[in-house]
Amino acid sequence: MDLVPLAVVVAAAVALAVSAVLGASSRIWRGRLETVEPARRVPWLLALLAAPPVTGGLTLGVALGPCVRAWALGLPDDCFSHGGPTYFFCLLHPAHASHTLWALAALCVLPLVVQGARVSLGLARLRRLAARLRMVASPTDDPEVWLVPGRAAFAMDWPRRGIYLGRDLRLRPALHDAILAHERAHVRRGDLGLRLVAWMLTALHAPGVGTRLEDALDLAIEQACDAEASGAVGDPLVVAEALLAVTRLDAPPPDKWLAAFGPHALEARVRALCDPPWCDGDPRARGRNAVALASLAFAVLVGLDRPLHDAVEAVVALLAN
Amino acid sequence: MPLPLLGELELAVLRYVWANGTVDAKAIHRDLGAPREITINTVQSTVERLHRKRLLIRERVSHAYQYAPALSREEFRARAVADVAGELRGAEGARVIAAFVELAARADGENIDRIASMIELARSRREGR
Repeated sequence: MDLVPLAVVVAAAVALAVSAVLGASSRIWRGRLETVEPARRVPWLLALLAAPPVTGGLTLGVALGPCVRAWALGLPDDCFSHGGPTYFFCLLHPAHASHTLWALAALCVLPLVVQGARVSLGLARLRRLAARLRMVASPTDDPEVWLVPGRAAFAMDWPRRGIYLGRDLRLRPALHDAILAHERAHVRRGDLGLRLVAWMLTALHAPGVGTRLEDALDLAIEQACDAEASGAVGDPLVVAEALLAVTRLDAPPPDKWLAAFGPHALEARVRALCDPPWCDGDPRARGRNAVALASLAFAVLVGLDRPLHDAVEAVVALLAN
Repeated sequence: MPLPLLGELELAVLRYVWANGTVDAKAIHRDLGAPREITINTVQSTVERLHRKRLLIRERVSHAYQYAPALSREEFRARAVADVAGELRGAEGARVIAAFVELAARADGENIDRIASMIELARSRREGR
């Protein structure tokens, strides 16, 4: 049990360090990903969002490596030679966690708990929204599409899958089809679930970094659906016009911060539809590069198991004494 | 205060009462419950719930209650629409719906004009090709 707070602190420290590196290198990954096709950009961004917890967990596993190896092979090292007043990072001889360590661990878990609560509240709100929509929505010929009051157009995955179109969204049929195709793409791809996962993952990042990644992911998701809608209606400029038309239906916001945030995403989407900047390399080369990079990262981590183990033990000694 | 949340049967009963004026549970069961194979007890508990939610008013006539709508269809609709709008803003803030254009992402006139000219330019470039 005493190993738990230590494990949490080690994993969180590594996660924070990885996230800080991502934050510091945001110009590089942003620049590189900007030219990647949106549908392929989404998994990359998710991977970046998941990188801190995955690396944290992996580091923890690797740091425990020497001790597990010694225990499995019955070697008189690590697990068997421990003794004396020093504490060790070991499964069999866990350090006695000090109050400081427990407090640190609690501090590391806190953002996750808070984010979990926010996600739960979001889901409860969604359930309420679905119930309220049922009170005002009218069905259409398509069982997945509902008409609702107002001028919004949106999709929901849960608790009931559906596309909701505002009755006052009076647009020419081509634009209407583009909106519908875009929302269908959201539903088909399961984007809402993806967004919730991403939202949860932001809690495991350094302040500001998760939000930056999440914004980039949101844009990639929207652009991926724009691209699917372009394919469905046969003309990306129709999708761009639909975006513009829906935006025009609403008055400018009273809040300047919202105005500053909105046009950015809108402009990026329209720009991508008018003049797509995607330049795809050879997919096989990309696959090879990804495998090589992952293997290298794994080899480095495994090669570092002894220094990692020793470093953690040094920290344990500091925290426990 | 937002309207209470209603289930499908509650909504159907409310619509029936709007369409038929003052009715008793027996009539509701005959026209709504029987076709759905729902017992009169279920119908009675549904109208009771609607009464508790202050959407139906009732008056005892002889041994049975007569139910009438507490809100007109228009009043109900207006309040329901306002509730949906409120929930929508919150839901998008909580990233649980995917809006075609983010509800929070509004552009000012100048930006909209610039984006419109971007589309026009792209179209004319394509047509000129």
